[in-house]
Amino acid sequence: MRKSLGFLGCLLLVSALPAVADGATWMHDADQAFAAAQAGGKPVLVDLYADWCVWCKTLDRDVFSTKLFADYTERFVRLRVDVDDQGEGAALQRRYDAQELPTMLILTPRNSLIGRVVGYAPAEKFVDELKQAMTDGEAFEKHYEEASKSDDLLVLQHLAIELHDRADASRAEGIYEKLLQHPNVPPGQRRWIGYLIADCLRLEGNFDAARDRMVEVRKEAEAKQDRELLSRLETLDLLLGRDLTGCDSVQALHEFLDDYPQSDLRGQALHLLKTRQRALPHACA
Amino acid sequence: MRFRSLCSVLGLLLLAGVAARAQFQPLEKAGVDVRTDRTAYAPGESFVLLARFQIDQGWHVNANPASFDYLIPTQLELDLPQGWPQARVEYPAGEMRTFAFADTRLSVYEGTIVVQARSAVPAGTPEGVITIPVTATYQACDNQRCLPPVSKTLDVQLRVGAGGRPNPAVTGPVAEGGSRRGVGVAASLPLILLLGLIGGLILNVMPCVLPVLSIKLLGLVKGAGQSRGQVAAGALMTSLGILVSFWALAIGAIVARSAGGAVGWGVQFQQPIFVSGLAVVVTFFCLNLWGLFEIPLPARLARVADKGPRSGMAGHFGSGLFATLMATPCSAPFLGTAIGFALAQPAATILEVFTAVGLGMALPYLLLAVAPGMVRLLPRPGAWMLRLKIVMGYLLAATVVWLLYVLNHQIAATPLALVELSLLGIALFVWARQELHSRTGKWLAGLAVLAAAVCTIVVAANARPAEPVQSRLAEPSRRLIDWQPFDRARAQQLAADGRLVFVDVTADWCFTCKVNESLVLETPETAQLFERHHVIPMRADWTNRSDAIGRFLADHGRYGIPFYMLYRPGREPIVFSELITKQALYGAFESK
Repeated sequence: MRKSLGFLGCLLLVSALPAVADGATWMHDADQAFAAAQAGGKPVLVDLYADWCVWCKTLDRDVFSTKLFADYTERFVRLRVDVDDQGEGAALQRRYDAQELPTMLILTPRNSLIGRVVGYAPAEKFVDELKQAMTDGEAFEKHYEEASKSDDLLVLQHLAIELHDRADASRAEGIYEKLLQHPNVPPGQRRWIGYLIADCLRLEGNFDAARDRMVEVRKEAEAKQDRELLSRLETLDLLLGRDLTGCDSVQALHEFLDDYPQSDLRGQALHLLKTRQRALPHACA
Repeated sequence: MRFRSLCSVLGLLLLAGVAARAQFQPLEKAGVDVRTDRTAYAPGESFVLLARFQIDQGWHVNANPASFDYLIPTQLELDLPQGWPQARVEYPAGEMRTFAFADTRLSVYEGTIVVQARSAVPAGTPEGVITIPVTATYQACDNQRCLPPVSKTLDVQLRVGAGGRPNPAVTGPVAEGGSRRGVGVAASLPLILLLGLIGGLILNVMPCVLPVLSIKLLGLVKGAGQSRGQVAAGALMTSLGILVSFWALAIGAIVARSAGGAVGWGVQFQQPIFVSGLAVVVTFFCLNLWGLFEIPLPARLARVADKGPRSGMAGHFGSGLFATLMATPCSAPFLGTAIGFALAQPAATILEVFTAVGLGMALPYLLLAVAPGMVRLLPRPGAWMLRLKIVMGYLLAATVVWLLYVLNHQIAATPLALVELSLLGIALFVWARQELHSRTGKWLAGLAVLAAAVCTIVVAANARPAEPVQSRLAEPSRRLIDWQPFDRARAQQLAADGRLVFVDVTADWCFTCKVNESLVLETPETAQLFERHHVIPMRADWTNRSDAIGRFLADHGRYGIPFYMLYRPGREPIVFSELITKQALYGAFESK
């Protein structure tokens, strides 16, 4: 009996060996991963996955287990997070607006975006896509270094937009702030920039600051009757309600429904509200 | 200053553009709507809720049950009031799919699916409207990525009370669970050729060929007084005429298909120019039988014909052509299958199958050619033949009436009247030509005949179309069966909702259709049968060109009409024979 157990044990060990040797190892704690990245001067490779995501499982099985992937990704600190963990995973997903899974984020040790790869591909292609994302990211970094130092209004606007478009919220916010300091920005644009900063704050999870900013911008937009901006602010309000969790979300959605009785987005808001209330174990105060 | 204002405008445009990122991006890849199958339910009555998922192209959702435990299956949950029986939810079977790059096989839904939930309104429920929240959950992926699960709650209003009818709102395309049943590759060519041969043979006795029988009959009777060689040669010529016309049809079909046009058996009857042209030809034949007119052969041909025993050979050949032309609006048993198969095949196969059908139709004449003695079985020619000729002329005149009836639904009333006047003109001038003795008079009358014939065709070709077919169908009528205009999506939806839908594809030019309608469909027995089984009768009118109807037929492996089909809930539809019988129709309902 003991002999056969020993044999089984050996067998298990042997079968596990190639996985250990070939496959990539991952960290699961975001704070530790970023700390390790800063200590080692490495970028962070984040695998955003979910339990229900069949292509995430396939990627894990067919790609992460390969020597090719493990070898290439040695240059990163590897972090795997579940987007449904109500914690760091969910925060990273929201911050980089990564709804489609699997998504691999390549981040700097200070948590700004270098690049991303979305979706499943076989190992070789997948590693190529990672390499391409790194190359593009490095090129963008160079561009960022130069452009962020510029005083030219259009260059700065372009850069901010590129960053915002990549969901690189913190750096986008930095450039928007710089634009606000610029003497040549007309007041009409300042309002819009304020709104975009509020959206960056939302992406970063800084909801209170986002809301304060939004209230400020809305006052200006109402004074100037900037209808286009008011409608964007309405959408942002709903996005805030969506991104909040628990009773905060329920309250924000209720407020949205009270504040915008004529909104086209009421249907979406009601649906979100119902979903949230259903997910809560108890009624909110 | 100007530069700065330009910058300002540009900047604002850019900023407004980036704000697209902050849009409320819908990540929903399936639209969901829920309906009740009836407009109201009496207390104690059972009900069906139909949830339709319309999944975006390129995306799929997990089937229920899903392939793996960890996957989120598509799900429908009903929040029924207390005391109501628990709903039984029926999910369609998933489709096993393998996706690009990966060997994982998954059971998924794609396109449009309908999930049904059944329950019952408890007896004693007070009348009124009850809101039932229905939650639909799905999780979508494409072949590379997945989106977060979506849960949507929709409120369905269920009316409790008397007077419920099938819900007219239940429409729209629904996946037709594998009813695309084209005569598959499985059908072997030899079998198809045999079917074509039999179909062609049966064509001889189909109702639309009956008027042509008059000409054939006369030909045969004439033959009774001729030598065996002459009879054999005549029969061969008729066969050749039939075959040549079938080859012409095959080439026409091949050309039309390669040009992307509608192909089908008898579709040329959808063209007013063809119908009016045929009316002119039949008028000439009719006048010929009445003795007002001899079919003139081109001078050289006539000389050749007069020389030897081949006399009248061109006439035999012509009658073969004519018989085929008249046969085309009829589909016959086996013929539909054979032609349907052929039209989906390479050109060579089309030619082979059409040849088989032609041979089938020519079979009686070929037999006569082999055994000319058989002609003796027919009565000997005599004075009675003259009378028969006159009678046959009337039969052909009736055929003209039928063609005008077809034309009546294709072109407006005024051009139709002009066509009719022109035909009358042909008859008048033909008679005048016979009566006139001067060369010039004959020549002028001949010219008038030609002008009238050309006028007929030109008027028909340029005529305004008749009123749309649908409005004719919608007319209140005293018909036994209250046919509704055919709507494929609606028919499928109704079948999915548990109704029987009988589809009749017909056309005014389809003689077999008309015969079937009068003998089988438009009868009190069938009307009662439909009523008893709550059948929804739908009629598709193919008198004029309709690609939708053409596609519908093609999807069921047919290219000709009549076509009869019964949609049944949860089962493959039944397709009936071209010569539908009451027994077959009633039998289908027994086995429903």
